[in-house]
Amino acid sequence: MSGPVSGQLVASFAGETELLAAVRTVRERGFRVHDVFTPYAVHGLDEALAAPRSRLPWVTLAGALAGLTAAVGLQVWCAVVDWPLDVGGKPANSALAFLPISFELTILLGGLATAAAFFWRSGLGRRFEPRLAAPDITDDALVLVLALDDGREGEARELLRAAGAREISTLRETRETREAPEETAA
Amino acid sequence: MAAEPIALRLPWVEGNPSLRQITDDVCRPLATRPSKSWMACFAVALAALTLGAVSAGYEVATGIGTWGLNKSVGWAFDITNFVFWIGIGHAGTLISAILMLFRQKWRTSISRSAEGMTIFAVMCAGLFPLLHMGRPWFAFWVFPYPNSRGPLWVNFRSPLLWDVVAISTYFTISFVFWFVGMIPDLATLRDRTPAGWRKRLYALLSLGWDGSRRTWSRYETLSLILAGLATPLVVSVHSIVSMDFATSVIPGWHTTLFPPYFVAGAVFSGFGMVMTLLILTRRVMALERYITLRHLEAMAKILLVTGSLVGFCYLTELFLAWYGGNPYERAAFWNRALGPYAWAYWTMMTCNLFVPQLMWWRRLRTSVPVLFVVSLLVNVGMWFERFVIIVTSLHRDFLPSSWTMYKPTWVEVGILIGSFGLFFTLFLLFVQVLPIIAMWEVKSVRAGEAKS
Repeated sequence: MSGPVSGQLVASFAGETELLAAVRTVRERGFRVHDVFTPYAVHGLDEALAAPRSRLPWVTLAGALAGLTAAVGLQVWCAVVDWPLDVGGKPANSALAFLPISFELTILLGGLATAAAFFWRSGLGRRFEPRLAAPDITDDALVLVLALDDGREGEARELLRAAGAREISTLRETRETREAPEETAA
Repeated sequence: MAAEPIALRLPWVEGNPSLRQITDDVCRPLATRPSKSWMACFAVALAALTLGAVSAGYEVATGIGTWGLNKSVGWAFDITNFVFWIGIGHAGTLISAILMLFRQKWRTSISRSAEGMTIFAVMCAGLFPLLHMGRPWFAFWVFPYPNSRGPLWVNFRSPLLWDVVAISTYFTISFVFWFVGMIPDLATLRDRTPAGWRKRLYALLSLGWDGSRRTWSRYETLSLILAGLATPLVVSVHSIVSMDFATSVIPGWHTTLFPPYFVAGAVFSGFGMVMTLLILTRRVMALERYITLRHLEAMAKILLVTGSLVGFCYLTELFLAWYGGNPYERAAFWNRALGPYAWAYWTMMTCNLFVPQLMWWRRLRTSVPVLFVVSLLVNVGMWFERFVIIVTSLHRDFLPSSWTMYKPTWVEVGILIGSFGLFFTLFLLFVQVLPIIAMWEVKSVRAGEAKS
């Protein structure tokens, strides 16, 4: 990815307090956090990483507007333009009666578009056996993956250990070794 | 980090389990062979489902004449069961969406099973309009599609069509919400299940989830948006169901009270069903630590609130029938309370208005046997509510010469039993194959409690 000596340091934590403290410390010391893997959504992590807000709500808005337009268009075209059928003497364009279906389709397309965008952006469904940073991240391990852009590995290890990491290992940035950590220290 | 004053209160998960312990407790029942009690329940559910399939098959092959409907009572059992099952579903959405927006932590232990219940209940509900069509293979006629009859479009002004769209939307969004909520837990199962068909199934369903911070961040946004969308949706669905009746001119149906009245009733009946299911599930699956007495008590309080709301609607209806001065409306309610179906009316009143009032007492709210009986009575009462609304408003038509009585045939009863069979078959399969407690959500609540 970046630089000839690049690699990653994988530090595993037992609790979110330690993890959050570690994230703050390493960022203050100028390290780049590659990613964080956790068994549940840790609140405060996005803020600690100064991560940008998700743009998913815009997809919802677009989907909802598309749903609304489609619903109103379909109903008006069918019931007013294409074949204005007299039902109980009601006017062809009885707009109020079109409200429930317009509402439902707004919700439907808004929700489906957001879910689809989520799957697409997160790359879910592309690979069914993901390379996990540590075997326990879907169980009880909170894992911080640090990018070693400039090789300050010793310093990084020390910081992470001081922050309470229970396990630290190094990943060299080559396709073959990414799956197996080459070295483990308690 | 704002430390919440949660330390002053009892924790929602008992016994301070570690994160690993939570994984183990929830996943253990899935790795073992089904217990004897599960097998026994499954056999009963399958038998009921078979009875339903036979009854439905006979009805479809012979015709709607196999039902007890007549000229005055043109729909009865089918629509009663339809409204009943749709209502059951609403508690699932309320727990997972509305309580999520209100950041109620107690919902985490029960949301997954309640959402599952929603999906299965909506499936059961959908069965009834389908069967009432008589020729269910023409069900696609209810959708607006270009056809060779003109094209003749569906009537967009009809509440029955609104229903079709509302229920389809409700089912789709609930299903997406349920599935998305399960992905992290399916990944947990994938990583701890030994190689075999189960592991492959979990790997397929978890879509390669790797717990990355970026994914979690988007995931939380998605959950919040889906909750925000599902909340007005759930209110709209039962409002639209109530318009099937309210937009007609039948005394007893033609009232603006119906939408809120139906929504309150739906949540009430749904919580009754959640309570019944969870009292059984926590026992059979040994999950008392996660679905605690406190959870049951919180649900009992919701039963009390919604039951009182429903009771208030009953009394409002009665009052307005008298105060409104419309002789037909007055006659319809007089007939409900004192006519030939008075037994059904008073069953409804007892189960829905009086029984939930027992929940004022803490001693009763925290007694599992009492809660179980109350939850069953709520289910019975809410089924009768729909029966009373539908049948008693129809059977005495405007002309006394059209007055008649309605009695279900064995075919209708068989289909009702069959719908319970379908519901429990699906629910039992669910508790055996999928994680019924949202592990990742419970873990985050646990972590929050441990911190303070």
